Amino acid sequence: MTQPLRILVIQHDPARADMLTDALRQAGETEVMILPSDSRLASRIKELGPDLVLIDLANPSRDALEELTLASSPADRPVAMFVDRSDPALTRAAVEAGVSAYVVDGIRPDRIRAVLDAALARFHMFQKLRTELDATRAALEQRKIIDRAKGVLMRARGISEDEAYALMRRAAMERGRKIADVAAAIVTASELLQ
Amino acid sequence: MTRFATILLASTALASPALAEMLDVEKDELTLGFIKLTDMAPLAIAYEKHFFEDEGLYVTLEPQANWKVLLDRVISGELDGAHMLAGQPLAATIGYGTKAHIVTPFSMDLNGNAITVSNEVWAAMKPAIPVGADGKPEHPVSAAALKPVIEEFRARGETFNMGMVFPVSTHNYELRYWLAAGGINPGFYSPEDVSGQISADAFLSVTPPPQMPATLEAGTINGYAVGEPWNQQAVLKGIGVPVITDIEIWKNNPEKVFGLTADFVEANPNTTLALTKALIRAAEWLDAEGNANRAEAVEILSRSEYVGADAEVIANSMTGSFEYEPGDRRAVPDFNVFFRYNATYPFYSDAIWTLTQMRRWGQIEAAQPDGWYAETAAAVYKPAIYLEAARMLVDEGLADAADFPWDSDGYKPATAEFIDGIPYDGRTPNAYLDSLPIGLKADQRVIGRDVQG
Repeated sequence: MTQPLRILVIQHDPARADMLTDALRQAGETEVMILPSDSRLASRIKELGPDLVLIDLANPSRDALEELTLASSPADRPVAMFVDRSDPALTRAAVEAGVSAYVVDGIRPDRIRAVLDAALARFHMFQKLRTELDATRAALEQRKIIDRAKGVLMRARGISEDEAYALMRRAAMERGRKIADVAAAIVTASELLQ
Repeated sequence: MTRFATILLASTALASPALAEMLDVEKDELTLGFIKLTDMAPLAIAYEKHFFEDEGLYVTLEPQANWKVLLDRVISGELDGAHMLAGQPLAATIGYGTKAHIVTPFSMDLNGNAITVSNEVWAAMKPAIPVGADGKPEHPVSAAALKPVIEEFRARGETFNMGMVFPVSTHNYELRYWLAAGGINPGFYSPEDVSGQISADAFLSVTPPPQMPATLEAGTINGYAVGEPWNQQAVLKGIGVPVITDIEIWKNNPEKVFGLTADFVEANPNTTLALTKALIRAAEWLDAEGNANRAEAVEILSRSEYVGADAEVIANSMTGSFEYEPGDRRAVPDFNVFFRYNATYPFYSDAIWTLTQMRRWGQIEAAQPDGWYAETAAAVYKPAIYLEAARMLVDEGLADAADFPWDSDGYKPATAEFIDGIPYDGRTPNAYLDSLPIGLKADQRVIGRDVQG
């Protein structure tokens, strides 16, 4: 990693926070920031824009776990959670809330970098899948609209499917619009005219 | 036949997809980049005349801020292809500047550039230029007439500065060629100093094309080499005088190419063919019937989404005439050539000429064997794709077989049609380099401020 990793630690026990900071500094090129878990957490995290959020909870409640995870925006950045104790329900809640790494049994300084690297890799993989899924969904939605618009034109003008598509493509290029936008306009207009 | 097919297409509008077996394009929505210059015309015409659509392509044409941004966006994939300086795909492929394998199956035009100097410089040059029987300055104007002016600048303790559009642009190489042919050293590049001003008599630097006239007017530069409409603009504004067109520096020199990444071409072979077909038809349209369509092309190009300059200014060069001094308008029928003389075929010998100039001025730091020049040209220029696209058009009745060099090996015959009459043969680049007056030869290198070896 060429850029230092900007890590935000959320922790309210100062002694544990110092231990964590030392462990992170020894683990490699990092910039460590520490925040207490107060009510302004979500907006502070957003301002700081860290590469990774590390949440250290000695003994989490389900509510605290979900609240902290949510405040860290696990869809925007990797969130790693270290807890001393957990149970299967809590573990599931953490994963469902979107944490990229959930480590039970506290922090081992010599292992911390490996855990964070894994959290980063896992986050980036999920983010890529999520982007692809969004793009595929959008493409599918566009395809449906284009097919419906083609149908409208084929019935209205008695033309073939290829001709209907070419007609939309021309209309789009002449107006500097996307084909899907022209198709959506055709579908909307045909609904209004029915 | 072609004309008939065009009329048929126009009159039956959307029946065109049924005319021919359509290529099964891998990607049918494309974004193509261009710089606001007259020679982006093949892209605008392929768009406006529906040639892209005939190939099943939905295309968005997007103007780019400058050549570097344009190249970066092709490399990143934000653009699927673009109007490029002939030197850009070559420089990128050999890693001069941003390294990326860019290829071209289509050469966009010949000629189209000129060199303009400020009114002050022109007035100082004029006494050294012979006058013809018609009382006008004799053309072509040699840079030898500029040499005493540069010496006056030096005596006054001033540097003589000129603008060109990009370090690997044809404009840079043409300006350097003209200066060197007149005994003026345009300066060398070295790996440590990429200013291109080592040992220079004239100091060349990059200015974006649309800013050339204003930069000249401000006095930051004393002259420039650029494409149209930015030379004619200087005449119209009364701030400078074009002294020579590039056709007089090297007759029918290659100018822009259509560049794509090698990865795109490999992943989308049919899309590449479809694009090439549409562009060949656009080029053919631009030169058809003795430039009969040029007036319409000028109207299209003048629109803000394309070049966005006055139609009158664009028309000057596009319709076959060129104004030098105000009122000194001369016929230059081949100022912009888009199709005739096999303009669209990507010749290896054209690529190699550009590479020789990169070597001549030190952008290529060390000597390379002749074989390297041939291999580099073949890695970037793709005549096989071009001819396959041309063959399809001929089979569809949309092009005339007589217009294409089917049997070419990619090398034009040797030519001496340069301002200094020095012959060029693309098969022997090292011998050519040795024959040029100023520039690196054999094993010479630029070390520090000196040429050594």
